[in-house]
This record gives sequence, structure tokens and C-alpha cells, in this order.
Amino acid sequence: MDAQIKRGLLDILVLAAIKTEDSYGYKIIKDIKPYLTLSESTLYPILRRLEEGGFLTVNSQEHNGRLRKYYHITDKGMEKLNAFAEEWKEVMAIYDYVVREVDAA
Amino acid sequence: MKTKDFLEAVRQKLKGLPEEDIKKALDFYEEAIRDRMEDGLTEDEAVDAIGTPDEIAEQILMDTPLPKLVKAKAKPERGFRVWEIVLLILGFPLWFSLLLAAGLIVLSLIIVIAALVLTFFIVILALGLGGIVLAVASVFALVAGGGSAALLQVGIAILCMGLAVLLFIPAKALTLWIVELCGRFGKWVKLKVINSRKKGDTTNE
Repeated sequence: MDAQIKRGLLDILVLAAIKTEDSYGYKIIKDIKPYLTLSESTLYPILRRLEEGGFLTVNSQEHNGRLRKYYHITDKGMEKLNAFAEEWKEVMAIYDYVVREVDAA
Repeated sequence: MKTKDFLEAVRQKLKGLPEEDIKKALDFYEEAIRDRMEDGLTEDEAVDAIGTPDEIAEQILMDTPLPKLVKAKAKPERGFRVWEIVLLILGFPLWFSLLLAAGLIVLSLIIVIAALVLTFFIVILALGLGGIVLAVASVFALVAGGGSAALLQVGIAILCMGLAVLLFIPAKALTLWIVELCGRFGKWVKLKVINSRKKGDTTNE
């Protein structure tokens, strides 16, 4: 996949994984595994970037006697998700058309 | 490898970055290892699953802004000695002017590239505006009964406007290409800085 597209998709995928409830690093990786295998070393820069951009906030909560970082989506993050869904409707329409044409041949 | 050794190895590779950044990264990876162990993996397996310290450090460094990276590299491992400070002050006229020259060279390169891009668009704008003015003028010339000269003027006006529209496409493509090239160059510089860090590490050991 094109590197630029993949980068954008990863941001969206991570935001989607924390949309309904706050989540933590390992859970995010497990949740998106069916769609994309992600390692911690890839996830870390993404989370940092999203945090710096104000798309999510981080708060530490105690878990089994240690601190675990939970990621919470912000309004700005929600907007980004919605904008993505809107934008990709068009892309998917093109995709449908292309696939139909390819199959037709 | 044990968690402690692993984290220490990553820390070594990130040496020079702000302590806050290093701690944040190490906390993240420690949590990742603990979560995997809670999931039933042994400590060794969990550490292995995270990746090698080299991979992790490189990802973090590639994502660090270039100025921060250069600063991290320039930072000495220990404080400055007295004689080093004296030398720095005495050598100020020399190193400062060299630094200034290097900075200005980079700046002038940026200006040259920007000027090049600007030139394309000014040419296109000039063609477009010239065409419009000529077209308006030729209407008057036709009304005034300019005959074949006025017709020629109409032709030239349309030619100018057509060229402007036509040239806009390659100019835009060229600009995008230059922007992408600059981005790639930035990435290349970053990689160089990271690699020179690595070499520095091995000579220190």
C-alpha cells in the first residue's frame, strides 16, 4: 500500500479503536489485528502524533498495582473520524465502480 | 532478555533526547511488556514480541523533529569542561561565522527553489493577463476598423490565454514534485543524522 495512504489510515484505525471506550496500547493492537497487524513500535509514534495533534488525550489509571495509560478520543478526534467516513464514501463509490468494471471483463 | 535490560538498551539508543521523551517511550514499552505477560506470555517471550531495541529506537528517532534530533546528537555525554568553554568563547568569531555561512547557504538554496517556482507562476500570470488585455484592446481595434491587424491581435490574445491555461498543468505538477523532493530530502537528512548517532554509539563503547 502507498506509504502516505497507509499512514493516514493507521491514524484513523487507532482513533476508531478508542472511539466507543477508552483503550490502552495492547488492547488497541489486539482490536485492530483482524484488519492490520501493528507492532508497538509502529503504534507508539502514531499515538504520540495523535496526542500532539489534540486528537486524543492520555490518562494513567491503576491496573494490577501498576499504571496503565488509557487513550481517550477528543472532539477533534471525533471530527477527524467523521470527516474520514464522509470523504471515503466517494472513494468507496469509485472502488465499487472499478471492481464492477474489472469483473465485467 | 529481561525487561530491565531491554529498556536500558532502548534508553542507550535514545541518549541525548529530552529525558521527558525517553521516559514516555520507556513507560509505553514497559506497559506493553507487562500487558503481554498478563496475557500469558513469559517475560522473555513478551520482550521478544515487542521488537528489537534497534527497531524501536529508529521508529522513535524517525518521528522526532529534525532540530530536536540534531540537538540530541550535538549534546555531549558529560558537562563541558572549563577549557572547552574557554575554547568555545575564544573561537566564537570563527565558529559563529562558519555556522552563519552554513545557515545562509541553506537559506539561499530555499530562496532559489522558491524563486524558481514563483517564476513559473508569474510567467503564466503574465501570459494570462497579457492575453486578457490584448483581447479587450483588440475588440476596440476591431470596432475602430483595424482590419487584418486587429484579427491578428485577437489570435495572439487567444494564444496567450491558451498557453497560460496549458502551462498551468505542468507548472503545478512541477511544484508538487519539488515539494515532494524537499520532503524526501528532509527524510534523508534525518536518516543520516540517526545513522551517525549509531556510529557514535559503537565508537563510545
